[in-house]
Amino acid sequence: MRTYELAIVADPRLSDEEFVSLVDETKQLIGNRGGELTREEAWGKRKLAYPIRKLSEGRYTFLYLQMPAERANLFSEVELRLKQNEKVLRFLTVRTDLDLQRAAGRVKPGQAVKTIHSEPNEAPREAAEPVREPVEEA
Amino acid sequence: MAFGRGPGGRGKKPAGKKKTFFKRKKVCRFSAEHIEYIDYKDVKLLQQYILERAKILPRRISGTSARHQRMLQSAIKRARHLALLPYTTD
Repeated sequence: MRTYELAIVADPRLSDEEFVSLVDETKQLIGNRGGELTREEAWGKRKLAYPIRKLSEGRYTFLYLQMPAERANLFSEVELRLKQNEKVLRFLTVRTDLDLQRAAGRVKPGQAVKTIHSEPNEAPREAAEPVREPVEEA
Repeated sequence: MAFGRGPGGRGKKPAGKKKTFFKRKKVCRFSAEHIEYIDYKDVKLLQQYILERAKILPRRISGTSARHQRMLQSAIKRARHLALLPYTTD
């Protein structure tokens, strides 16, 4: 089983429904190819570090998924669809199982793999998410 | 001597005062904290390792170990692709 992270930066002008259907579509594409979603992380709208297609904001989502190794080549189909989709500004797939395995191998048995992506860093971000949305409407 | 400069040549300064530099030993933060994976989503962390012009901080300055610098490098590049970090500032 391989694990992947799929990051999607969507057009900020999409309505919530459009955005949800875009993500659902992607999930379905993955599901149809034997992938399994393990976790989902939504950052909401975030300012881009540089303009993409003259837009200064993007809507960030991260999908964490698993895929059997023998079907992983089907992932390119998912990527192709994202590439063709104009609602998607950017996307990135990262295969994580090898890195995490290697990391786990270096850690003393019984200890958790430490990533610096620490909880205090992540918590406010998720907490900030619902707050950010109403600001958008105002 | 090939350079006709009198005895001593380069290393010796005329006054005979030895220049001493105090170099503080730089320590790789990631090695010290036993970090085995650097996440491209951790923008706050990555920002500490880019310069004002958004260049990647060289490890001769930060003291990051080679292994961790490689991880850092790919994390920064991934973050740039997603516009979490700038490629450059103007």
